[in-house]
Amino acid sequence: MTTLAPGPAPARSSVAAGGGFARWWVRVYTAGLLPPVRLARIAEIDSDIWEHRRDHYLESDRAPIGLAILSRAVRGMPADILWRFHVEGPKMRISIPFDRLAGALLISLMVFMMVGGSTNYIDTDPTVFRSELARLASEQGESTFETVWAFISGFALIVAAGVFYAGLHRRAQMLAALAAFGLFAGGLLIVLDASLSAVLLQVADDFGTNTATGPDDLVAPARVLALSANAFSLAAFVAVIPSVLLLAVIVIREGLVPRWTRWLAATTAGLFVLTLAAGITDAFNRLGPDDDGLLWPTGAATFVAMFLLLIITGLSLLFSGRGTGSPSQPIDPAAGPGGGGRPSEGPAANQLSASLAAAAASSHPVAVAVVGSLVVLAIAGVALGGTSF
Amino acid sequence: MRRKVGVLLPIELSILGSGLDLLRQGVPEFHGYAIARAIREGGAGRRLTAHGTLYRALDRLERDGLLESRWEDPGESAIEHRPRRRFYHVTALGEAAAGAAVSPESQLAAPLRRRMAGS
Repeated sequence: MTTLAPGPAPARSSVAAGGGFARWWVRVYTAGLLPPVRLARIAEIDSDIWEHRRDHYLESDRAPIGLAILSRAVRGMPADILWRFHVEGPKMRISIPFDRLAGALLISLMVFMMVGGSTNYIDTDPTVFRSELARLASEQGESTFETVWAFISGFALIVAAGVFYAGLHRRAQMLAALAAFGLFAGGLLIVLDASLSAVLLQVADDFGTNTATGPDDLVAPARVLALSANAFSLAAFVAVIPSVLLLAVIVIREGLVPRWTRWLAATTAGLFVLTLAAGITDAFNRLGPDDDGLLWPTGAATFVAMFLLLIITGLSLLFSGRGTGSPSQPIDPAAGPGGGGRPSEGPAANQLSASLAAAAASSHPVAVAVVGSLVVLAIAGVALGGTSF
Repeated sequence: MRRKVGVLLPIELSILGSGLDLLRQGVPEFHGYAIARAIREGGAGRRLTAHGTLYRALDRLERDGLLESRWEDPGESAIEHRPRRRFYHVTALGEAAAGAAVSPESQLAAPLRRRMAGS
């Protein structure tokens, strides 16, 4: 796009950084504005940067152009924010494109869960539990990291629940509420798991690193703590997966991600049901601790499918999110003088509102109630059943 | 800076003054970067006006009817392989407002008075 006259070549990285920051900033402070207003301001800044660069080259100016552009962008930031305030009036709303925020959040959740899931497990088998306590005592640093990580993951899930509900409740109120509830419950259970793990670490520390001489009276309460922590961890897993699936249903139905991801969502759901069935079968059959039947294979497969779903959905939302407006849309010269004022909503906004209203209206209450009941029952069942192993 | 109704800020006076300068030089319209450069060359500042300050002021002046703008024809910018420009010009109201602002009793118009005295 930029065909510039020859001249002294400033450091390309400097120009790119200065211009890049200015372009990024205009997209940030105009996010959420109506497309005509937003695109007009973005186009003006893009034009200004281009003219500034061309002027610089034509004048054979050796001053750092990237720094000059950066300086103009930074010095103007307070005025930009005041302009935004003026455009939106006293009820200024900070509107971040939800699609991208959701994408970033999903990927973060995936990372949290991958790290947490790969580290946070305590073997409660009575025959090896003394060794497990000794391991926890000898690996205090690593175990403490895992516990802190679990705390952070739990709180992150609780925050994610709020963000997703805020972003999705207008699109599909019931589904969004259930998904948020599941995430919130999962977060809370992980925090409880982390709390119990913290106490267990203290007990393990008291137990000492010597398996042979560790006091016996600490083993039983430590095992109760470990069993409870594992149960909460499993319950969190059961709470989070249906929530992820509900979120997937919403974003697929809204067309925010490729339609083929529904097959991945369906696979995850199928594996999840198999895992639940295997867990229930194991509980009834009272299989030995080393014989978990299909529970672990299906559980692991569910995790893998869910991670794939999360990463594909997250990346799709992050990099191709609809956001609010798009630079590729044509500029409407009738946006109003200087892009100011508060123009009426255009056809694109009306179309989006209509599709969101239709999506919200299509949430079948019976299906929602069934899924919601299953989630609650599964959480309660696993939380109670887990402690009886 | 909060301004009183009907009072022009220094940056607004600079834009109007520089726009009128350009008009006298046979340039009836100017885009954002051009006016920033004209302001700097007029001695109102050593650095180019910041993006936010400049475009916010242009926005205000257009809303008040002191400037008018149009978007360049896409074909023109396509020929030169560059982004479209938004051209502004000073209206009759803007010219009158700038003239009133440079009257001797005005406190804000020192830079503009210097410029007009020199032209």
